Amino acid sequence: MPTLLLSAPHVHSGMTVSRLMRQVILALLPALVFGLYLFGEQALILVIASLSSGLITEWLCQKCQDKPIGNLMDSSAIVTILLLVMSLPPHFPWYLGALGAAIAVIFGKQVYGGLGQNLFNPAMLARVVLLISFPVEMTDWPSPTPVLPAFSGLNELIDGFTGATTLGSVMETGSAVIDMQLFPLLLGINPGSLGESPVLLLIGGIWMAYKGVIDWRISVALLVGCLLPSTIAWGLSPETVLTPIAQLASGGLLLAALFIATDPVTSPTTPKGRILYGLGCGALIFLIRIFGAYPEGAAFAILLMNAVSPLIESVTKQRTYGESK
Amino acid sequence: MLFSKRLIKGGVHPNGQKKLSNNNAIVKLAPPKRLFLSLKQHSGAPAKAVIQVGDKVTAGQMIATGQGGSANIHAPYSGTIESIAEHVAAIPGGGKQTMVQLLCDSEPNNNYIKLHHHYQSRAELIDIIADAGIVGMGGAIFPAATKLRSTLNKEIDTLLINGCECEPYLTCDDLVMQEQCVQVVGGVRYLLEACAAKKAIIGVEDNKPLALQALIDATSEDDNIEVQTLPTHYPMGSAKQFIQALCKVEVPKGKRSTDVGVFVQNVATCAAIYNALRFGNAMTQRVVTLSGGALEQPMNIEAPIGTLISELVATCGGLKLSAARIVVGGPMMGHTITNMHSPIMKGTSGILFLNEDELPQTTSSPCVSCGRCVAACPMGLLPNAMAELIANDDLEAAQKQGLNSCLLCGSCAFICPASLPLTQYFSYATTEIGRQKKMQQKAQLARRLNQQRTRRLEQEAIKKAAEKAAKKAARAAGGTRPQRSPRVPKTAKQES
Amino acid sequence: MDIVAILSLPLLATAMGFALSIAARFFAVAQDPIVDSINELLPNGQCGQCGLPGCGQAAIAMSEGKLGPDCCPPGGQALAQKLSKLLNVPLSNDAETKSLPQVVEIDPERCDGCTRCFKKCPFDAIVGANKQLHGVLSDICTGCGMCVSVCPQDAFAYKTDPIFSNGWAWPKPELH
Repeated sequence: MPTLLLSAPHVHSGMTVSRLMRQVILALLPALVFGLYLFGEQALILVIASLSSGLITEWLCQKCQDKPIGNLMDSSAIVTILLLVMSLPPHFPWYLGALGAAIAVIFGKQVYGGLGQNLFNPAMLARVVLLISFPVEMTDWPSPTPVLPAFSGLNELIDGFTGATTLGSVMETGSAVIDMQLFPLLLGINPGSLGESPVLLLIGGIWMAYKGVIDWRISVALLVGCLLPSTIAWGLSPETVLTPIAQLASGGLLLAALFIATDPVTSPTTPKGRILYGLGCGALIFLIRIFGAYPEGAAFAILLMNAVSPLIESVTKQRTYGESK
Repeated sequence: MLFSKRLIKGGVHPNGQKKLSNNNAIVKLAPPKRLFLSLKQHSGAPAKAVIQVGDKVTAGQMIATGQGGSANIHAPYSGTIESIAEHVAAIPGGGKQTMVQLLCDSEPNNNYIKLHHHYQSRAELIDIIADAGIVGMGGAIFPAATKLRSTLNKEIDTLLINGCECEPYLTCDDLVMQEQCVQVVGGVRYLLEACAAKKAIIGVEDNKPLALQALIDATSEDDNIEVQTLPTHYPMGSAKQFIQALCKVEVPKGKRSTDVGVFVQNVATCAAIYNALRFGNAMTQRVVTLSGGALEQPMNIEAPIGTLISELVATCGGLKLSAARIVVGGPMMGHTITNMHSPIMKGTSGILFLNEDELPQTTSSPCVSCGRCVAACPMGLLPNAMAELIANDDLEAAQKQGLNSCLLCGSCAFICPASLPLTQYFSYATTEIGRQKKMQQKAQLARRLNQQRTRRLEQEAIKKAAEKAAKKAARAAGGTRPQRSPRVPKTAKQES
Repeated sequence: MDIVAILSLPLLATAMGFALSIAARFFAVAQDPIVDSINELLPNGQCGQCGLPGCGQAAIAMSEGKLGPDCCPPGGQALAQKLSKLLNVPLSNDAETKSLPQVVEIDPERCDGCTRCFKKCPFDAIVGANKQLHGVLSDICTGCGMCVSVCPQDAFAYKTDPIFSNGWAWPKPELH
């Protein structure tokens, strides 16, 4: 005979935070694996070093606070570290990657009180710390050198690139007239971060949106917020501004739109707030790309919008049923 | 889902579990030996018993009369009143209620006392519904006649009949619509007359095709009764959401559905109204769903009000597993009980015996503010923010956030990936606020009484002083009496 | 050049500190009459359970921080919460402050109708007459205990306030 008096509900959807995080990891894997294929063992060492450093840090922090170690396995730390690593240059020194992962865990999350309490996206916070502290290492973009025998035609494509990202060369030369082929661009076979393959990221993102893991509003709003002004700017000055397709496919735009800005902890919870937040992120990315001192601004844009996310949430409170419209 | 327009805001799609109990016909329970009829089976004040211990009663005889808008209670079978005493009830908290214990005759007397059921006016029609002791069977247990009387001076445009039964597991309304559709539709016709509505819409979720077909067939000749199919979407059956889905209007905050020209009633209540007006039968029976993974044979039982839950379980072949939770009502909004020796009441729609596998996990993880609760709230509230305020004991701020609008529908807690007890926080807060309000009223009363007392004592003191002064003055003026010694001897004082 | 850099910060800080202290003096808000607002809330039974002779003194003590917001048993949890908000002092989570409000009841076997208790009751919550059995009106009684202290027959006993013993409220969920 049950002895507890409990209030409703007595059923649950079965969705758990760990399952959400595991689905995010699954969605990240194609782009990550492709990145490792392109950039070889040095990238693999970076991933392994960062993951172990981040997880050990997480474990220590949980232990110091007498929190259950089981939370380690809720995979949120793994997501954070993977996102950080995928936004780093592929041949970034592994010890600095490990340092970044520790920073993400400690200063990105644990100092605020752990999962769910942080104001800023931990991965982007760590990335900005690394970018400011190690500017040389953070802007060293190697060309892809596939470890395994490349499939036909890939080698010729790779040969066409030298050591600068698309966005970086636009920033340096001031000219957006770059000879680009669509196929390598969409697959991400060019110098750039470890996890930048647009098509594979998009597949993961659409799968997550279909599964309800992320809210499509943020992603769509972010892309609109960035690409709409980009298209206008490109129309006005096609010599200095990249084509919208190139804008979409280069840099961290898709990673930011699908995986980073959609981080539930640091984004607003209201549907309208999410659209506003996404538009803000996108517009800031556009502004930094066009007018900023850095070629790519996804990390800064997201951190800035994180800061105003509580404000957005409070001004976009939805209307309660039965209240006048 | 993406392309169909949503009829209501938010909501969730729990696993219906309707197949467990909707395959079999309604089973009619053999008359039980004893019935326990609670005097408080409706919202409002308890009914007043009109019989004495030891009295013989006939089936259909009124044993308690509603007072102040509450509902009458009738004896389901003939028998003897054994006692009128406290007995454990299937209410939240597992408390006790005053119940009339009826020992049914071993050979049931088939002489039913019929209600007087002829009427000439709307008011008289409603009186018959009141006499029959009919309450809303959809969960609110509000006396039907009281609700109908409020329509006498209001314009009712649409009568909405709620056949959604959106709670998982429950199928009693489904079966009533299938098997008693004539009574249901008959009741709708009476209700149309009672509230003078222009048309009636019966709304049924699309997971009940048999019930829908039965209703469509039964209403084929009624021009003013429409049967509408609604998508299966919890909480479609909540009155406010039901109105929103069918009439595209929202009931303004603090108003009733009748204020927007809509009158809502549940399908099973319609059948009860038909039985009262057509045959003069009082409300003494109801269909109850018994379901859940721990029950041997889930089914719907038509049982007299006051039957012990344990007897219903025996009819279902007992439990095949030990039940981890026994829930009265649906799994989304019902409450648990710990004693199967409590009787069913007029508002008991279902009793669920859930096994361990069907239950949610009891451990929760930190909120990641994923916003699923916000998206799921049919009332447009922010459950995560409200729960945090309540966790920090700031009930006032939670009320400002809209706690009073909360339906306690359970959607937020159902969907929460962190398994946070969101709805449980709101259940706690609403009951706790009610209690605090009572304590506050009490404190105010105490304060007022204290002020009155202080004033009275002051006035008494002034009066005494004045009297003393007057006496003194009289003495001084007269001067005839010898002056009393100012000092009274100590011994004398002690003796007095 | 370095010296300037090193000195400028401390100097700036000192200047700002001075500015702040001056501002604090000039723009100080006069203490609002919080004592009156506390007094407004108190039941004014003068029962003395807080350790002070009267509610007025208790209000002053609370405004000075000498008494906590939960010092008044007759006011119960509701008053404690209001006061904690007014005084901006958090409530402690002791089991004692969470204990349910009490009322008294009279043992009919013991009461001899001496009328001492109902003369003493600050809320007129006791009814009775000389040499008659007295009764407590539990929907008024605050459980202040003034009657208990004067009863020569020791006829009083405490019980949980019926608002709490009869009305069910769901418990606050605990997180695991």
